[in-house]
Amino acid sequence: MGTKELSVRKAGEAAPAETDKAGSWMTPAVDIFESDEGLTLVADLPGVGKDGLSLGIDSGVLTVEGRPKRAEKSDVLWSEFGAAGYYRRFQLPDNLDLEKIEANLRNGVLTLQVPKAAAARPRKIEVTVH
Amino acid sequence: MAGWDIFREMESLRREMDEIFRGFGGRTLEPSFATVLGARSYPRINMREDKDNFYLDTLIPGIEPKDLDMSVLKNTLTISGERRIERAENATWHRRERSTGHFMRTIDIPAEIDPDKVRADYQDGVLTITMPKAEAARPKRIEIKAS
Repeated sequence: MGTKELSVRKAGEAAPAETDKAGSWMTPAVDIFESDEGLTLVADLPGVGKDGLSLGIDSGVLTVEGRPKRAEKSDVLWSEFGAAGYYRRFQLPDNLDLEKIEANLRNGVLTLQVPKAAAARPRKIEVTVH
Repeated sequence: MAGWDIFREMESLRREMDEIFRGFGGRTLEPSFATVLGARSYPRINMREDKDNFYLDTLIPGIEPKDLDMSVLKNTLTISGERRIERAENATWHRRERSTGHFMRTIDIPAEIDPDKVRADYQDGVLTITMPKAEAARPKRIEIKAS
């Protein structure tokens, strides 16, 4: 599985209409950390390929929705996870540059990198003594 | 840094979303929303069957197939491995929920399988194991002759 680039929907573009809410939804486990350069969000979305993933940002709220591929027709004997998909929303802080988000999906793990807006990055100020 | 606390606010919003889904179409879902967090056994599995095979879908995101080990003994399947996550040292953490480390899970297959023909595929973080049923465990169609 190679690295895939994903496009992120911009504000105002709504997620596709929900037609199938049956089954149980899962809340993906995430890691979120921050460095001087930006914020990184890593989410476990096993079963979700590039086609099943939808990312949206609207009014600073990031929505991650993933739909796994349907299993072929067979009888379920034992079930510990729902087939509907993953859903989770996050309020993003406002010091980020939402135009420059990078998203990457590999082996069912989504990595989102959101750089900080230039004004929010720490800057070293040289002090000169006269 | 106070701005980061909004993450917490969003958590309560998430619970609201849960409620919305629960009420959808008057369907009652599982008592606790099926969350990947706090799963008792890792990895989570779904088992399916058709006429010829048992299928085991296993959620193991972000692992290299070489870090996975699988063995079959009679009709017991064991999956073990290690999930390694590289974590930035000089970062401020806001959430750290993804599990890491060694795991092992043993699953009993409800009927005899052919251990030589077990197949495993790893795609998009899901390990799908196909276990053909042993000849003796397959349903047989018995022809009824009318005399």
